[in-house]
Amino acid sequence: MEVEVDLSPGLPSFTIVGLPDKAVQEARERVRSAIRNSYYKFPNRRITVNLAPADLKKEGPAYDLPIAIGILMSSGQLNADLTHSIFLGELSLDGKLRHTHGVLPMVALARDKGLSTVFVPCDDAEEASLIDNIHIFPAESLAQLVTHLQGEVDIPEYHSELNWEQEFRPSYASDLSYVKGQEHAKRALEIAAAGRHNILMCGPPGSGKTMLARSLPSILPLLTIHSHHCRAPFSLPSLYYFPCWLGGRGAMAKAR
Amino acid sequence: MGGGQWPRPGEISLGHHGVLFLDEFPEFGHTTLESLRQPIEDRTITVSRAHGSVTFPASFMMVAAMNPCPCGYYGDPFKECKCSSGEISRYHKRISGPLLDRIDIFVDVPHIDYEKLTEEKPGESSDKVRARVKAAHEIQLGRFQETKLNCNADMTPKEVKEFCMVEPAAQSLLRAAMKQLHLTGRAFHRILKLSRTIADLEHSDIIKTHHMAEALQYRHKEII
Repeated sequence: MEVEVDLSPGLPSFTIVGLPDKAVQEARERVRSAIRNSYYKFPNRRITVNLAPADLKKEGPAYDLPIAIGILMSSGQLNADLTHSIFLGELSLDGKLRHTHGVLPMVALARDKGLSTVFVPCDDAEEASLIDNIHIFPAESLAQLVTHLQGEVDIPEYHSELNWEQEFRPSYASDLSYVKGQEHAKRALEIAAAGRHNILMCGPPGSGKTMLARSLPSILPLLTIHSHHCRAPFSLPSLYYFPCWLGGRGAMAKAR
Repeated sequence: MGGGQWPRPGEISLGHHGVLFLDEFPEFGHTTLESLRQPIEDRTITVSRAHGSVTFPASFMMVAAMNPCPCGYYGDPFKECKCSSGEISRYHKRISGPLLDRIDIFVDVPHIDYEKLTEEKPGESSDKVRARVKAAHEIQLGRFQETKLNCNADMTPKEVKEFCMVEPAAQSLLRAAMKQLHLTGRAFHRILKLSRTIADLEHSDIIKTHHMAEALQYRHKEII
């Protein structure tokens, strides 16, 4: 994905092309307000933003920040070499950066494409830091980012304190000991969990089938970065678009 | 399954590396259940739509629950079942043979009586069971280090041949079971994988007779 910005003489307008969806179209309003409220000048010219490749549909608000940076660069308010950088983030009207979905897969792709630096909203820095071999800079706002790029303020590089191996105790909804009797069903569940085999439980209503199934997560070992990383490179969190994974859904993601 | 104009991952992909729990199994739509067949085998799902086709990972463990008949009490020692045999067989026909063939463990969860329910003795806690499951997992991870696999259920026939060492007595038991129960080739591999897991839980390198016997008794038996 590349964001191209062009300013040309003509009636002031702001167009985004490249199959943007509604959220991307609305970036126009957010970018305009964010630039003004960060005390930069929004150019009164004909602005064309192209999201390349043009035949792929673009979704979501992650393009706000690159569009704003592009406008500031092409209007001469920002001079910096950004050839090896990638910008991600949704802008609020006052120029602050908001959490964006899908940071992890995008950062992973950026690294694979050989880019060295990524600028993300502060909220997403932890998520992005799961990818190694790439420099991550968490930005609070558009103004802070621009001053950093011009060398006036220095944003420290983000280093994760997240420790995957640390003891993690999720709270489970149900425990096997809550189910009375049914010892053979518990044994079958244990075997199924150990080898990840498919299992079918059959019995009259109210005998505890659903409760047994609810207890299953509590006997599964925790997911490790190993199973995410080495065997299926990030397929699991990328699928979830990482919805506040390290915060609210921590238990779900680590405890299956 | 996943879908939409632009293919998106569905429940089975979101259950990747996790558990897919289908309560009231026969009440799911026929097409839904049948389309589970391919992802259970391949561990991926390909969603093809007008705008393109995407392959999502879908390595899930399926847990299903069902009643034995529409009223729920067929085979119950205390309560009489009110269903006709036609109704019961129709109910069971909703789950096709090929799908049943892909399920490794069938287990009855019978009604429990008052004495059992009010029993003071607490059952084994999840923490203890998890420790055993984890140990078995670690054995598997060590075994599959050189391969791309994660667990016993992921094994293909090639790996089954490589890793499932069966002692001779267990082999003859399996042979007899195959003949008497008319098991399919897939069932043969699935039984071997299941007995491998049972052996792992006991930290045994080879599959012994009692592992094989336990794996065999979990196979599907015709209810009627």
